[in-house]
Amino acid sequence: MILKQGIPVSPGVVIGPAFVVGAEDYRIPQRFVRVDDVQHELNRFDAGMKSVCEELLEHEQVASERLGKQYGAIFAAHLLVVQDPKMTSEVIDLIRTQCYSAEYATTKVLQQYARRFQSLGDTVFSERSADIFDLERRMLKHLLGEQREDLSHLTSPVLILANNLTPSETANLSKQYVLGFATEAGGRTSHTAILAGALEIPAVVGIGKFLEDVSGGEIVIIDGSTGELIIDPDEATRQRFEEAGERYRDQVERRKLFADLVPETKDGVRIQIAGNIEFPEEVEHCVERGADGIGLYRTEFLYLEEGENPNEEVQYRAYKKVVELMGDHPVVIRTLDLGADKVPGSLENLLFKTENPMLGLRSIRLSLQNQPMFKTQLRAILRAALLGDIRIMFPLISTLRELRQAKMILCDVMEDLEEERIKFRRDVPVGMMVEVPSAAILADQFAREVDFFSIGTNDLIQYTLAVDRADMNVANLYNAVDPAVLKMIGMVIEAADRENKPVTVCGQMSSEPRFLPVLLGMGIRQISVTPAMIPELKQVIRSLDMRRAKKIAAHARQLDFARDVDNYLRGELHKICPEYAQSFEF
Amino acid sequence: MTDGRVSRSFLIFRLSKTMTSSDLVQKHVTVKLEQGLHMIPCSLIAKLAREVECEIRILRDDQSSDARNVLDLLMLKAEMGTPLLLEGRGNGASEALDRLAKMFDENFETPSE
Repeated sequence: MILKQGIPVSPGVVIGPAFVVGAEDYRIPQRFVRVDDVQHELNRFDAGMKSVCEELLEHEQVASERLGKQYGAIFAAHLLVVQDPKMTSEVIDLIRTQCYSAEYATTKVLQQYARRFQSLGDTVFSERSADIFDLERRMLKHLLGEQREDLSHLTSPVLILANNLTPSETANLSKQYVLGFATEAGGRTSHTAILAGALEIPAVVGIGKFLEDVSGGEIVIIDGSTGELIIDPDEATRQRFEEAGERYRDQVERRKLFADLVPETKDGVRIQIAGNIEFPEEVEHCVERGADGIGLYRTEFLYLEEGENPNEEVQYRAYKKVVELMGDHPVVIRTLDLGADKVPGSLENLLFKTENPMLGLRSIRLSLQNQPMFKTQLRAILRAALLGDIRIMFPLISTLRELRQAKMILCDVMEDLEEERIKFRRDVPVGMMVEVPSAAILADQFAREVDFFSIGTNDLIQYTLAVDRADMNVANLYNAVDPAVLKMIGMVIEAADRENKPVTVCGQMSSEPRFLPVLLGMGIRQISVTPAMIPELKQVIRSLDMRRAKKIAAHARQLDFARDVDNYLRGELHKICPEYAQSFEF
Repeated sequence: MTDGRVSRSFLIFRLSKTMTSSDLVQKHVTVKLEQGLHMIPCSLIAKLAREVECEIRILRDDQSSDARNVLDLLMLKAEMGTPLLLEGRGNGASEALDRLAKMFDENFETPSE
């Protein structure tokens, strides 16, 4: 039995067989084959090569389309290397005359080339060895058949264990068979955490290396409330966890009873609680729990599920589904926030080896540089807006110019639709996410040019405190209630107030019960949260009155250290709502 | 194998894999790219070399590379300013080298869409 500790990011306890997603280093199963099997190996190599070439061609197309010809050219270059007659004949030779397995022969030949490059000394040419390694990985991947997209072919319930999970890997996963996640890397707001929250299954991330200690099929326990991963538990431990699992399920049932309650403070102040969603299917979770709307519809998953830019119809259908399920409740659609950690795996390797992908070409910047893609999305949204209360939100706005550009493109799209005599709604409210410090600092200016603000605390915290949320080494510096962050939030609320514009908090901070009093006390009246947390947050709101909330906010803002603020808020939550203080440690 | 063309008069004898003197075409070029002859230009050279019938080699000092092989071309480590010798042999060698030389001259820029 092995016990590992990580960061709990989605509550619950689950026990079951492990499904290990292939790690970066592909382990070669065997080096040599029997003489009789040589022909088979040659066939496998041939098939593997075809497959690699297909994949590279596809990547070239996608990269050229989305990001420009010079990015596509990198894949074209790799393709030419793979098709090199000399290299392939060297591999075939090793298989044929020395009975090497296809994988071993490939590795040998490529590593030889890589070494030759490394011997070129410290020049730009020696860095080509990185390309060789990338190609080696790709070829091994195809030979070994361990496609990381494996998750779409599950056939029985499993717990997914991986180094890290990217959106494109999980985009097609068979949701009904996934019981939980545990990853070596990742932090509280990583993709794995968000996905687990959306699926409402337990997850633990940032565990550190453990994949070598577990084999596929082994029984493991994931406790998403305490952050524990237990590999091959003994009998006593299994018993304990099965009981804990039952208790947790009871709690979940109890909370469903709060669905019809109105989130109103004791002194009658009505708070709007909306839900954050990725997939249209999650809207039901929101409706079940009595959400006041969708405060954040993350549209990235449409792009990753399709594998290529989803066309207008695909998007329109998704938006239509969501808005129809929500009736006359508002649905805030955020335009594409792709980039940085969300780009499909292989592109990420070659393109975003920039120093700071978080500060680079992503989100609204990507949309503004790729207008056809942006316009397609806006068209779909405007058309769907006829069916309900849709609102548009632009992410990562950092300058007034960006905002005006985006709004201008929206106008252009409206003109296009009119010329084409396609029906759409003109008076769609347009807002922006406040997640870049510059937007918070100049909130006054921005407030005049949008219909609403939505504070994206995840990124706002990262940028304000210069902390990478996924880096375990500094994860403890990431704190939602750091005095600087609270001050930023305060600035945004005040600026919005002066212009009479509503402010929602939609980051993970608003899903956390103990932060609610300080947010409400500072003036927030709208939050958008993980659907699973809605009942609990309602309960907290109903146990609070605004005088108390204001006092808590005032005191919290006087404290110097984030840790002190956090402890203070934990204490206050315990007094307000004793039964909720214990669970969901964040 | 002749193609009726007169071969250039200066013949440089090299030790390893070279072409014989008959119907050999040669052209001198210089690398003008700031990053030198990196992956993408090498792959463009290889693409051309694989399209044509004739054999093409690129030489630098004592090193000689098969132009169809991207990795070999990279191993030339041809930084900016490096003089290279293009050698072609066979059908269409002269045109092929002209096209190649043009690519070097235009810094391997493909016309934009």
